[in-house]
Amino acid sequence: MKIRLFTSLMLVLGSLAAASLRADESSCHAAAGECEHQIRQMLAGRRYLGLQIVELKPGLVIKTVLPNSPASRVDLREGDRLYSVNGKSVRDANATQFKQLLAQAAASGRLWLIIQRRGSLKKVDLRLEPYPEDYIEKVISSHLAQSHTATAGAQP
Amino acid sequence: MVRRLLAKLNPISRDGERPDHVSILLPLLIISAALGVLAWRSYVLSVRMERGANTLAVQYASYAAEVTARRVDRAVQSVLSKAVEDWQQSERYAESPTFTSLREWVGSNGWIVFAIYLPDHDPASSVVVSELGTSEASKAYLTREFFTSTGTVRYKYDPSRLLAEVQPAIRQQPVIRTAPTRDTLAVEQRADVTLVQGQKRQGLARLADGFSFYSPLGAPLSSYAVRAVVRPSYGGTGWANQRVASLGVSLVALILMAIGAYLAVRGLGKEAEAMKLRGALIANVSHELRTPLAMIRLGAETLKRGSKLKEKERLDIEDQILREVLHLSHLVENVLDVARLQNRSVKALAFVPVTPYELVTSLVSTYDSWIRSKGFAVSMQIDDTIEPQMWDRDAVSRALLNLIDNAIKYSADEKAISVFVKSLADEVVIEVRDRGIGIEARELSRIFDPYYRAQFSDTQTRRGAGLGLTLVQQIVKSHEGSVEVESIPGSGSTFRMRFPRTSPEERRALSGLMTHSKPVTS
Repeated sequence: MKIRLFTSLMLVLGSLAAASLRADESSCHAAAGECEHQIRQMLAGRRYLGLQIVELKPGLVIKTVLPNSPASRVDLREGDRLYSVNGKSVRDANATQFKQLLAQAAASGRLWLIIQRRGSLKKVDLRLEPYPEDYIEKVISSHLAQSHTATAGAQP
Repeated sequence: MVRRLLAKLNPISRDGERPDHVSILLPLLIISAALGVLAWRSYVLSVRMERGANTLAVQYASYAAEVTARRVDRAVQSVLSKAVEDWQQSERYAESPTFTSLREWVGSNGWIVFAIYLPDHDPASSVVVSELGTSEASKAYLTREFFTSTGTVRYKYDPSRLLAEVQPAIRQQPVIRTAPTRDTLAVEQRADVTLVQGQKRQGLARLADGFSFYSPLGAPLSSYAVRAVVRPSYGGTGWANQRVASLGVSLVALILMAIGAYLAVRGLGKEAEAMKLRGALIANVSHELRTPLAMIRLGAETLKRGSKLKEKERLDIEDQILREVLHLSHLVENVLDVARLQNRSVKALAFVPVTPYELVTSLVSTYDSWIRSKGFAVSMQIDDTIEPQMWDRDAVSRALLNLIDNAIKYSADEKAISVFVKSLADEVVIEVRDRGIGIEARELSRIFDPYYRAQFSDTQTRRGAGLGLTLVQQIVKSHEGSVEVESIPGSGSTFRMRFPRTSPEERRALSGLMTHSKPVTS
């Protein structure tokens, strides 16, 4: 009785695993080069800031500053409250709206923020930068490892 | 001015002169002009109606295209925002979105072909899901991104697949339909709405049989447009087209008018001919009456004054007076007979058995001296075996006499007259042949008309009222026969009276009838 239950459980798990495996295999039909080209295209034009923020409802607070990011090169720290982006107030904004403001600024790359740190306001000038090449390489290699395992050897 | 114009238009009433064609054509011309104005007006109206229908079609096309485009826009937006919501939903359950959740998301939105998730905390650990098939690089995929609280999603999608999702929004077509009743114009506006790609044009475009209106979709699918084609039912081709129909109707009206004008002109011509004949009657008859009267008067005056006249001269004058009186009475008889027969008053035609041979010979012998005095010789060929016919003796004699008289009158040098009486199967034919001047072919059909006299260079010198042949014809017709004429100008004419032959039985029956009815008819 117990053995039966076990086998059926194993069968179910096995079929599930097989299904997920099959899905993995069939996830990317394009050539690896094509995928790499697409990923580069998607990321190349991007400028990023390197901040992770949390919504405090209302208000936005910096959660982490990514090392070696544009944000890390200026005086921005964990716990700073964001007041405005390029003169537009973000005191009541959520993370999505903040990112949209960043996206608007991406064309010129110039950005000035007003932050509040321990009660005092501070203006920070900074530039958005493209993703570093090693980031992009990492993304591509992880994608190739994830979705092109079967064909990676055959593709250039 | 107006009166003068009217007087010009109406020459008949002016002094009875022959009416000309202008007087009848001008009113018809005026009516035609009025008809033309009406036709022009109806043409203009139908053009205006067509223009109105076209305007309606244009408006309808723009309306249909615009409404559909906006509906598609809304549907696209709702699909896009639903995708965002889907993702945010999955993000809420998984603290950090993984490859699996992204793949599920892409799988549930079939129009997305490539997606990348960039987490804020570590862009280098982005996850990528690609549904790209092989060799799809050339396809025009569109890129879109949205932000979540923890990161950014960028994806590429196939616009044609996205539009396939919203296909129901295109299929719904607003339709204006007015049921055509008897009094209203049929207006059925139906737009064929389709989605087209890569159309640079925008707004109205004219087709061969309708209008199309392009209304581009809003961002992000602005390279697509909704095309609405409306084919107005009003301006058809051929006879369905109102313009053509109104032109056709006016053409028919003009043709009818032309026929009417032709008939009127022809009728006018006949009327003019009748008037001419009436005038000829007056001229002929008065001339014919005056000449013998003048002769008689002259003779009588000479007799009264001239006591010294010789016996011979006096006899000549008396003969002359007698001849003229006879002529006069002959003329008056003719006129009266014609009038009587023409009015179809049942003239006391007394049908009695008559032997043709006896009738002709007695007539010729009676007038023999007169014929000889004119220098003519009569030769006769008479079938004497013909049984008696039911004829009016006086009338047939008069007809024959008229023919002989004509032969004498219209002969020139060769003075010879032949009279034939022939018997055919069911006809008795009396024929008078002369070697006279003959009759022109174009006049042959008219010589039997009353008061008509064939035109010769010397018509005026030959006496006559133009009644002789009319009388002949009427007499023969009243015997249910017919008159024929053959003539060669310059070498003579042949007149032939054809009487239906009466059989002995008929003759008996008729004679019985006649003896009974004679007291009534006489």
